[in-house]
Amino acid sequence: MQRFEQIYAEHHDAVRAYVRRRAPEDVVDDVVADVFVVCLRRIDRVPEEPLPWLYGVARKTLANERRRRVRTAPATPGVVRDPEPVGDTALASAFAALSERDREVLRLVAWEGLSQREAATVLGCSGVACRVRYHRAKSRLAARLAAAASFQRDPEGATR
Amino acid sequence: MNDDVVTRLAAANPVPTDLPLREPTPLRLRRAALAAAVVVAVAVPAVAFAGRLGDLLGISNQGAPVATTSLDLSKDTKLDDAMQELGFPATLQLLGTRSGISFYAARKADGDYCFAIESDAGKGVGCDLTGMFPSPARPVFVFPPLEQFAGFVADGVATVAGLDESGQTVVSASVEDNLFAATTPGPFDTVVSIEALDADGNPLANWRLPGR
Repeated sequence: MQRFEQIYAEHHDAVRAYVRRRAPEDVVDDVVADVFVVCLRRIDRVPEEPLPWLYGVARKTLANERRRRVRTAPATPGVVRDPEPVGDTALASAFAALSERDREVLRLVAWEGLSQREAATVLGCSGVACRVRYHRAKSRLAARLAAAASFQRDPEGATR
Repeated sequence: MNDDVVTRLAAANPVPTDLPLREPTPLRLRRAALAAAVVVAVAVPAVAFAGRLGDLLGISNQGAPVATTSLDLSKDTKLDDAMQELGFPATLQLLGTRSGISFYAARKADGDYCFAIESDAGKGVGCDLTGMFPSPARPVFVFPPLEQFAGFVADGVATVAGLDESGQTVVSASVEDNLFAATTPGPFDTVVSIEALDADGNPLANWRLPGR
């Protein structure tokens, strides 16, 4: 139980922030609670570095919540959402144009502060696959941003 | 160039983790109460005070026994699972009812306290996993995030207050038979810390709610 308490104390806020980026406020506490119930239940199997594992549990819990809500209240909008950048319109547009796979690996590194190896744990892929996915996603985002910036700087040129 | 993109993306984080997390909107005291209760039990910096909670249990109200399976909350699958995970005993003590909330408590074989509350507004279960309740440092067990400001206290606590970031009282409730429940309906989104006071209004302990 001592290990669970330590994990809870150290990682609760990070898990809650992760969930808050992806779910409306009225379900955040329930989802976070579910994540730690799973942690408590599987405490013997929680890896030495628990945060990526907790994010992985949260990811599955959110997916379950999304499925549950679709079944029970299909008309409810935005039950579980894909978080987008704020305060940077150009970036948000470029980010939105990426696939969800690309977006999620970028979110894990940029917003959750995970290494690529840790992101692989969350996504359930190999370290190599995750590293490739991350670098490609980063390149695609940079390319889309560059294209948008170029168009904005020289709109006439874009039509010549 | 690519790394600049990630830096720029990091700056556009919709929920930066280095900022205080905004309080969640109302909670139905459902399964969330499990983790919330664990929060109360873990990593709470406390201000110690001269010990007055010297008796064996620290809770004089011994209540009346009820079978755990007879409670409505045991019919909630999530709560029932949580109670099993936490090792709730088969019998709880009904300590009383305040403001429409029924309060139950029990001690596990290892001595830790477990609690449950039921009302029309919701249900919750939780255990003090550290064994710190009741103690001078932790004389209150409250079910956050405070849609209902309610909980259990050790002997010697007369009032429980919920304070905002500036230390101002947002909600308070007087204690009767080791129980408190504010008559004011929540949510109390701005409450960030809990203060326990004695009968003369002197602070006994004050601690911040984790995640707030």
